[in-house]
Amino acid sequence: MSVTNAWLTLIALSIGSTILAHFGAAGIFASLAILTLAWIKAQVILRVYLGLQNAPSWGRGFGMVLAIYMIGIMGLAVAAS
Amino acid sequence: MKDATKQTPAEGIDALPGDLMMWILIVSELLVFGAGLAAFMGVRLTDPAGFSEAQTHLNATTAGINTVVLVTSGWLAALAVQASEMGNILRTRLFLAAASILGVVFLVIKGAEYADKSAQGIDFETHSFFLFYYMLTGFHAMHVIAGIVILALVSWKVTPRNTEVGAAFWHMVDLVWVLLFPIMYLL
Amino acid sequence: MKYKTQRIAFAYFVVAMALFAVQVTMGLVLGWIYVDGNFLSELIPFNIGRMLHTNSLVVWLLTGFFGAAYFLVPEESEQEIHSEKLAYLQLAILVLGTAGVVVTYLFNLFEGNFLLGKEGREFLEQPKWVKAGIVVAALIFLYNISMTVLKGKKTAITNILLLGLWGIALLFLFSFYNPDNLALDKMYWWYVVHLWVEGTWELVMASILAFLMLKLTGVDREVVEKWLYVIAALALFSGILGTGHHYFWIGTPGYWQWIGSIFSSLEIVPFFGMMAFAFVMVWKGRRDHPNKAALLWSLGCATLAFFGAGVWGFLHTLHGVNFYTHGTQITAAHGHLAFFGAYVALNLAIISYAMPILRGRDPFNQVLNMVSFWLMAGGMTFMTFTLTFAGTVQTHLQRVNGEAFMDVQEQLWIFYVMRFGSGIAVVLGAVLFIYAVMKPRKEIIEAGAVGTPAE
Repeated sequence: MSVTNAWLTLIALSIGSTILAHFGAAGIFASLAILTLAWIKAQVILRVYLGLQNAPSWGRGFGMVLAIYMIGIMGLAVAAS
Repeated sequence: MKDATKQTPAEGIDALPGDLMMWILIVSELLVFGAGLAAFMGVRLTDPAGFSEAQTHLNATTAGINTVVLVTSGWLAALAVQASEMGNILRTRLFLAAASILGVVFLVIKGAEYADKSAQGIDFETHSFFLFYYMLTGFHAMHVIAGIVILALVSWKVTPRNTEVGAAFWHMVDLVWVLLFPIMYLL
Repeated sequence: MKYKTQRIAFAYFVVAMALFAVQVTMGLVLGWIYVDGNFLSELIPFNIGRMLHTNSLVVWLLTGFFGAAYFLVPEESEQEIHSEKLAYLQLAILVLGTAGVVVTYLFNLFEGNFLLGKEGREFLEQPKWVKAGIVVAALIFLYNISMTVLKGKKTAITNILLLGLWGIALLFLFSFYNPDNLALDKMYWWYVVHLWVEGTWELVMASILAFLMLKLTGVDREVVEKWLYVIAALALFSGILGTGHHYFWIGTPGYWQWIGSIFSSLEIVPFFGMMAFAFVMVWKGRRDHPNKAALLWSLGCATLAFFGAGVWGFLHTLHGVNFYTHGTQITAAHGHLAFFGAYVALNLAIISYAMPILRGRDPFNQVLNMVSFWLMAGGMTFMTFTLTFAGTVQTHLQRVNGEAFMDVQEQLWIFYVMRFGSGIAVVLGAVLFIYAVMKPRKEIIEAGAVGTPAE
């Protein structure tokens, strides 16, 4: 992915999460959706902006830790609802 | 040395793009912010209603604008790296300057947000939500300031390597924000 | 000995070991006071004994660091020490100050005097003239070492070492600032020794370990330096704000609980890094260095530092845990193994490496030295366990059940008896160590084949 495509993706995802939060979407499913969007954004920044797409093994490692972390955060979000 | 890395794909630590020390810093920072956000989510369990109420005092719209500002700034920094790799110093400097200006915009919006909180009489002792709010966003804002300084240093001495290392720090600041923003402002 | 000014280190190491003897002897006395509360209560009250135990520890470790710097800087920067005379003057000031402290504490001379009397501040109670003397000595030292490095080759080892040593001297200046507000007083109080042990001393430790690894394993300098920079960066990143874990219950704002907990949890990382570094270097190294004792101490240092400072530190660093364990024997357990593992063993490692060279009898009788390692390390580990169990019981009885302090102490008696036993082992080990590096001349271990360094 080129950096410009990454940027467009990030903007689209950010607008998406703001719309979700703003227009009524509440409750646990909205929270999980918002966190999923954040997860994708973090993945895009790691892979494209920080260039881990060119270092596949590191990209996988960071992706895995991020996945565990986001699942943990989602778990805490579910527990709080 | 350089030819050797071109022929065989680098392995282990050498495969990391940019500078090892910067990656050590990035990972350390991510651990700290990650732990802070996880602690926030953990403490939130003890008082979900209080946290929701406290969150209504935040302005998600301006923070959302700040997200756009920061990821755009990150894009400009990434373009600066490409310009630097092509040896175009002027173009590199322009992109870095633009990225820094958006960093300043971020700080101005953040400052207005803090001023608004303070006008409402909210400080870090008001509620544990605001303890985390001030601590984590404040820490993050300090990194934005540090990032602007780093970008300025890089544009003073432009080399492809310097630009890549400076931009990496800036992307880390970006990365932290895209996780911090939804967790703190939207959940 | 490649450079003749390296001999300065000999005098420093001898003074350091003499103070080491004083320190462990005082430790043994204190250990017995825990068993029999009235022992020497008229002559050396507990608080005075503790002052001597902790102050002599810090002073001898610093003296050892100075000695290590005088030993390794000439070799690293390929340059004689700037001024030998100044180095001895510095040592004389330190010895005079130390003697002054001991006499002032023991007889409580000049009580209340601004300049001569001891200051009431726990652990920073040195009289002002001694503090000023320490600053003068530190300035002489920094001038001397910095001039040497500036004239000669700059390596990663000397860079990190100098960074650490300058940090030590600058942070000590906080001992002069004594605010009236008790909470503020406590806050700045931690800036001295705890920004040392969690920051600048780690830099000194990493650079001395790197020097030892370079010499003992023959691994390429390039590899050692990469590790060194990474470890130094991690130590500073985690250590500076990690000191916030001391701010939990002294009246500082609540955010310190999170800053302290999060950053100090990461403090285990540089210690893990140092342990990994030491073992990877030995594993990769192709040199079979004859000084096995120095290698044993180096590996022991990295390992026990990881457990004592890293694991035992993490054990009670989270503020939710520390709320219960603060100031119990858990703290004592951590303090003993951390200081022993990280800094005592480090000093003994560099002394074990340097002394035979300084005395021109390389290799020396290492069997006794290695026996002393196992005696001290074993004793200290046992002591750590007994104190940890004592602390666990104490936390429950005192902090959870709310029993009175002295009633709880009564119930901990059996642990204190066991701790005294382990203390005897440590003291025997210390005496044996000093004997082993100072006395025997006969070579018992065969000089191993000195392999060619990896090229």
